[in-house]
Amino acid sequence: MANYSPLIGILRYSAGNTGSVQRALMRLHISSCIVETSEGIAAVDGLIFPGAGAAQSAMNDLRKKKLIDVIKDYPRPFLGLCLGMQLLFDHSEEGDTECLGIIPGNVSILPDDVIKPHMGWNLLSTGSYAYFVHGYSCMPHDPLMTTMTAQYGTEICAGVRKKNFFGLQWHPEKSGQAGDNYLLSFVELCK
Amino acid sequence: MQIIPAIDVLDGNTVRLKQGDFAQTTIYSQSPLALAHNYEVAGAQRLHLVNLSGAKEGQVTAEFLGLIQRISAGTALRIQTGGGLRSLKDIQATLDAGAEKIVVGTLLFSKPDLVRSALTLFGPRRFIAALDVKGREVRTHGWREGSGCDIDAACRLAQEMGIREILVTDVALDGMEGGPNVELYRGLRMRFPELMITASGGVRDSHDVEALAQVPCDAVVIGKALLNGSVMLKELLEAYPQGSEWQGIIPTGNGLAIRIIPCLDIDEGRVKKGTSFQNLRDAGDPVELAKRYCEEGADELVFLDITATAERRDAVFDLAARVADAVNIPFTVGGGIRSVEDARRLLEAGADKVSINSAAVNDPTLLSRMAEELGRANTVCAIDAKKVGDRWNVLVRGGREDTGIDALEWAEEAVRRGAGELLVTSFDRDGTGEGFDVELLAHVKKRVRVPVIASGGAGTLSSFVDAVNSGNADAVLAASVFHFGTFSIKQVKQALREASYPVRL
Repeated sequence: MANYSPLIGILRYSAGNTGSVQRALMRLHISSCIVETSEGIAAVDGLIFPGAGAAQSAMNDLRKKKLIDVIKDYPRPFLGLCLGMQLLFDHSEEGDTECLGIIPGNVSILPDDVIKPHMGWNLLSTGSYAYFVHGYSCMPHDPLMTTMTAQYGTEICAGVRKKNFFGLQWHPEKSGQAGDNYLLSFVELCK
Repeated sequence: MQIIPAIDVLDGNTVRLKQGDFAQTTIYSQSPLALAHNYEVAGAQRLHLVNLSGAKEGQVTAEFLGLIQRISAGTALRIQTGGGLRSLKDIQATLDAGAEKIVVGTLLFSKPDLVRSALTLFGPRRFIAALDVKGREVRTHGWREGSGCDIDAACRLAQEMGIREILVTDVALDGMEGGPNVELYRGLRMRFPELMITASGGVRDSHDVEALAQVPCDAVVIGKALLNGSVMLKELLEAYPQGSEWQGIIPTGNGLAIRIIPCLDIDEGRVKKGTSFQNLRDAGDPVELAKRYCEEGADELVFLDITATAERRDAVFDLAARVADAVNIPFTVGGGIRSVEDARRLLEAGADKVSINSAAVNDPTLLSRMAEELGRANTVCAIDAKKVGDRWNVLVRGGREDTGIDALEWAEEAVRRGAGELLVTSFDRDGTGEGFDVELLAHVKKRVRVPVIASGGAGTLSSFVDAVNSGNADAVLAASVFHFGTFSIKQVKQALREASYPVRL
């Protein structure tokens, strides 16, 4: 059991930046594969849901690929990154988009008085620095679902969890040791 | 001070152990659920639920999870619980059953990596470090074993892991009649002002509670004294208003770190750097160097293809892919990019940002199109500026041509068109080691609301501090001083930290 190496699926769809996630897993000696269908998703021990680009087109593509219910019903550890985290919520201001509705809450544009996008290394409430690139941020209704925060004009939700669904606003694949630690912990949970 | 009633659960019963000894167990008639209800009616907001069966057997059973679920569903009590947790899945199941916080004791010492993973995944606010102290040593495994760890060292360990809340029990006094070890808490309060300290064990009466409130402890866990009626929960809750909880020191404003960026000038696949872009010297293989800088703490890397000619264009795409495989930090590629297509290929190859310079001056719509199609965050405009009289002119073609364009006006236009970041190089200072042109940087920063990377002139450690202090730079870039080991990235960061700037160390 301890030596069992789980297979992590990386979901490919129009908004997914699968390359950098796959490279990060490879660097950490974690087995991974790209998945695009419900069959592919069923065959892996955990799923990473990357995201880059706009919420609206991402949701349209998931709908077209008939992946919405597959994601909602996913029973094993699931990790949404950046836009992939935002899509877990009910609604995003970006393009007035109805999202997956897995985590109760909404996604709003960052406050007026800060430079957008929020880009660079910001200090997490966990004590580590993480690399962020985003213009919108998540607000879960239940503050207990927030696993970590960062300060950018206001307190922003940097990580979230509801049951088996995890999300990070930052990029673990680009966040040095802090990112490596998160990915390794997530994979530990997939065993 | 928060008053937290405790319920110890063994085989589904409410019990108390004397000094953690299972042979000295008292079983109470009220079930844990009924008692939780009573505590809620008395006004309690939190509940400390100890899984003694779990601690004894080393596992969390479905029965115990069911109890958490029933208390969580049937009351508004915020539950903190521990005992028997051995895996990430146990912790997840306990949280999902309705516990707000997990109390970790033995695990801190027996499986610190597991605790670190749990803190990473579920968030530090969800964890309390339970430290059972005998003398000064922290005991583990139900107080039976020594951890070899002094209480202060254990507090530092917990803090270093990201935990902010500790629950400290003097095991010599718990379940006895000696009263709480007020001195212990007073010492911890003084030495660890940033930790939330919960006292546990030994409370006999309201005088003991008051003594702990005077320390001040943030919370107190009371078990036996409630069960035997020597303190009344309702009275305590009225005496100590249960206000909002201490949330740790919350930083305000903007937590962004000043970025330190080694720049690798690339010529025919090798790293080069000369003075004012001439007299190139070989300083190594780009991928090897990138890895080294990454390990040394670079926040980002910039690759500039300085002598890119049409025939050698494709080398840079290959370089981007190889760098992306090797490093876990973001990087920017620039030099010779003429089209959105080139930029897109670089991003697809693994670059995080693409920087354009001459091509943007020649055709400013390129910036607009890149921002539109690839995003502002991926679009960097590099500006090479030369001081001419009391202004700065934009240079192109690697500094060989003065366009006569005002650099500050160009900076503004570049941002208006979609540049998400500016890389501002002083041509006068580049390669001289005389320090950054802080005047130029400060003027650019006044005109734009995007991050500005200072470049050109890094010489001494204080020149980096000046770029941030006087130039208001968000990031500082240098090449030679890093390539030739004048000083390390860490030294630069320490200099910035000493000047009170946030850095990722």
